[in-house]
Amino acid sequence: MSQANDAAGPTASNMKPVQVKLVLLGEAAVGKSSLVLRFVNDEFQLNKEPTIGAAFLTQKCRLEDKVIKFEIWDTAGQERFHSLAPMYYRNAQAAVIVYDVTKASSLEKAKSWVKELQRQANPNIVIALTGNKVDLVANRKNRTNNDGEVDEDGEQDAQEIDDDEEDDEDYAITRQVPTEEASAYAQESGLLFFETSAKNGQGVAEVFTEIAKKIPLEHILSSSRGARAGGANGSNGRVDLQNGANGQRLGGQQEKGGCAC
Amino acid sequence: MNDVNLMDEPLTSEQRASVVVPRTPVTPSAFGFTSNFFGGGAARSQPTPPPPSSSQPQQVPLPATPVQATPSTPVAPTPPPKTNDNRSRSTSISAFASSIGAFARGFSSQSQPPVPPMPTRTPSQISQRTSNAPTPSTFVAFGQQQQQQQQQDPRNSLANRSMTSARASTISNATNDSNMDMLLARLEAQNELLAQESKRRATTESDMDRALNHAKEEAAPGDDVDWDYWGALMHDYNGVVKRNPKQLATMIQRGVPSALRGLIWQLLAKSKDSQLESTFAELLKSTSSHEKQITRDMARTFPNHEYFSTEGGVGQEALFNVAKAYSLYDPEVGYCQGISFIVGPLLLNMPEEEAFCMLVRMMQTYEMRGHYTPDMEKLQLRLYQFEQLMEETVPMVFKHLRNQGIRSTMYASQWFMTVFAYKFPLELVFRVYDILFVEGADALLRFAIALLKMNHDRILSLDFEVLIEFLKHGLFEPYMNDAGLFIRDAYDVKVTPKKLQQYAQKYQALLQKQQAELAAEENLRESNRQLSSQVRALEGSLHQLNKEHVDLAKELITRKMEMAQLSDRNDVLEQKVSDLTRIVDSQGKEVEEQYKGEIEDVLRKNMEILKKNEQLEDQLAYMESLLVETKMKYAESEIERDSLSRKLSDMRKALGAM
Repeated sequence: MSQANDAAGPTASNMKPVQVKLVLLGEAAVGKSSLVLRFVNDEFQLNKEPTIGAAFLTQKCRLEDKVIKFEIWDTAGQERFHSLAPMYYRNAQAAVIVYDVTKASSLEKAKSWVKELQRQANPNIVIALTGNKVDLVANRKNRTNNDGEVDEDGEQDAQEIDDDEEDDEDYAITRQVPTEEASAYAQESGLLFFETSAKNGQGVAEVFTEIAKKIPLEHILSSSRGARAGGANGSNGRVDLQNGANGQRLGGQQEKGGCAC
Repeated sequence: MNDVNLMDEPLTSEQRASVVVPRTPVTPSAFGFTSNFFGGGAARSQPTPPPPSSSQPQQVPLPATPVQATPSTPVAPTPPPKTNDNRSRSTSISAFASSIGAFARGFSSQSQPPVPPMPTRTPSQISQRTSNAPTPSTFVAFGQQQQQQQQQDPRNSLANRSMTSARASTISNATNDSNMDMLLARLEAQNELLAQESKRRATTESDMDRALNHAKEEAAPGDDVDWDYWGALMHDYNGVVKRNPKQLATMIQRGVPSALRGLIWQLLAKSKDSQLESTFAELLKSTSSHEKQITRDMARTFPNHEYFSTEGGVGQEALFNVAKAYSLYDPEVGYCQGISFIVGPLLLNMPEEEAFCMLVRMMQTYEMRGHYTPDMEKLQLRLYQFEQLMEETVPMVFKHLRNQGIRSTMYASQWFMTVFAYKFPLELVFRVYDILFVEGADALLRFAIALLKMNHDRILSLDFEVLIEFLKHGLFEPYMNDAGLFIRDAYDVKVTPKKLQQYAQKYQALLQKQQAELAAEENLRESNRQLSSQVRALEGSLHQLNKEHVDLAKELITRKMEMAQLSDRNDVLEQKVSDLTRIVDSQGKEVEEQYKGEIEDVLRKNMEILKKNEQLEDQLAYMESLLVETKMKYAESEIERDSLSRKLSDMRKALGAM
């Protein structure tokens, strides 16, 4: 399939990437698109448009001697778009379920996604629970101003402001989901667990690396070969990435370097 | 982003007034126009309370009525000298922006925290903004009273003539008959509304004139705009449309002058509704359960557009107000992401209460509500119709997309949900709106197909990943600098109501089939569940039985083992018994023989002892006879002794006595 142009590295030159279909789920405005944007382009956009429908992105990762290509479906978070989600998670091998650490209700929504996936999705799906926006609560001193820049005078300000305004600031940055609570839930439900900041990049790559480690790559490799052979003319109206994932586009111009993981 | 100029000096109400006052010849008319044209706006800007929302529009003592009585007297004769002065116009704009802001704050002040500083803008900013995209300021900044020459309008006579042969009129345009059908259908459907609206609209005619005149002056000299037509249209919309509907379509396709856009849209959509505007004002006082979500999306709607990018700025506030009011007005839809994107282009052309009315009209009359309802049924239908049209008009593209596994939901739902505003440049979006308000939302399909047609070869050359990106962000590129071509291409796409109806029926059938399948699937799933639970129960009892069986088997084995052990022991014991019996038997004889001799000895000894005994008895008899003899002798001696003793005693007595 992809041989000549594979830029993934000298050791990987004779190897085709393992394609991992990954879906992002979670409440609206928790930062799903931002998380992907950070992972794929290492960018952050403060006021990202809400996703309408779904977005598709890809990114390659190297894990030991394998190249993994994440095919990421970033779904719309609003409840209204819920009915579209099965189309995107149906064949997914991995799911990142995102919540906002400053918003307790978003963890509840995340839990309901976990339940739905455990009921409806691929039984071997690897699920990562991810609490995003930790930059907002990480360090009181690093409060952010309206422009999204780190407030460098924060340390002095904090002492001067103290009570009243500090409270106002608290309102915006109070953590509502303790790490232990989410982590315990993840453990009992058999999920990977991370806390991330799409804004400063903290923990983002790790989410995808750990997913890559946990996925049975050999199994995907063998099963996808079969699926591709059988699914060449299969357009049963479902989203089946394997159909679209033919070998040609692996060797093409999309090989612009993998991520650091 | 922090726009310094927007945030500098707060305006008190006096200051605001003072901005207005110097422009007496101009601004009051602009203001009067606004208050008149905006209906509810005037009521809010004055101390009088807004009309009660329960009353019918006709009965409402509209602030517009006095103006209606004197449509031209106060304003008509003054052609202010400053109109061509860019600076003064800007002042008027900012004055007006202030007044809009004041209205907005007027509604919200009851339910919201204190008013933030009112932005003022520099003239350069305003002109820059208006050149980028029309803002609410642009179209309301009409300082001019127009000397409209209705009667001499050559367009009117043309229109009159064409009215006699309305169908036969041949105006060169790109519209084909199928498109006409759609237009006529739309116009017919709206005729009823027209009748109701005509009264109210009459009140605004003079304002329209003013707007038109102003727009004319704003227009660049090179612009090829048929001002006469737009003037006639705005002055007598019903008449002009009735006389020549095709001409309207043609003119709209050529593009609505941007300064008139907000007004024309409202005319096309018949959205003016002072009753609804006061409802809007009322709704703003309530709290919507969607407010948090709406707030979160405000900064995320057109984040790169100057008007909407300022956190808490006028644009975001207006966006918030309209979205919030609509969420209360239509609780089933509430707030759906995408709504803010269709409100944005409205707000760039009209103030928020009018944008709200337009939104309501778009949702209801233009049937876009079904894009945002919980089931999004209209969106699903539209996507289906889109795919069908695609298969028919661009079959290669259709096949290619299908082979690549790309479904229309992946890229086109955002087109329909945001009227292309999600990613497309606003100049194109405005043009789509123009057509949308003439034809209805089905026109969106034209544009969608036109995009695919235009990019036909490119699409075929791309594979999944690049393609899906291209479908979302690249399709409009060929039209970037030629919106007219976009419109013309869209009109080349044959879309008839009949065809769409057929597709809709097909879709219904499909849906029913799917539902039936779903129901069947659900049934199967249910019986599967039951069977599974039975299986589980049976497995459970099987397991139980197995366990019992194993237990029994184990017990059996133990018992058998015990039996075996017992029988072994039995054998051993039997053996012992027989041994013992044998021993006992043999020992008896021995003992008998042993003891026979002894017994004989004993018997013999016994005999001897018996003989000895006889001898001893004989001796004893002899001894006894001896004893008797002795005793006899003893007795005789005793007697003798006695007689002797007596003799002795007698002798002693005799001796004694002696």
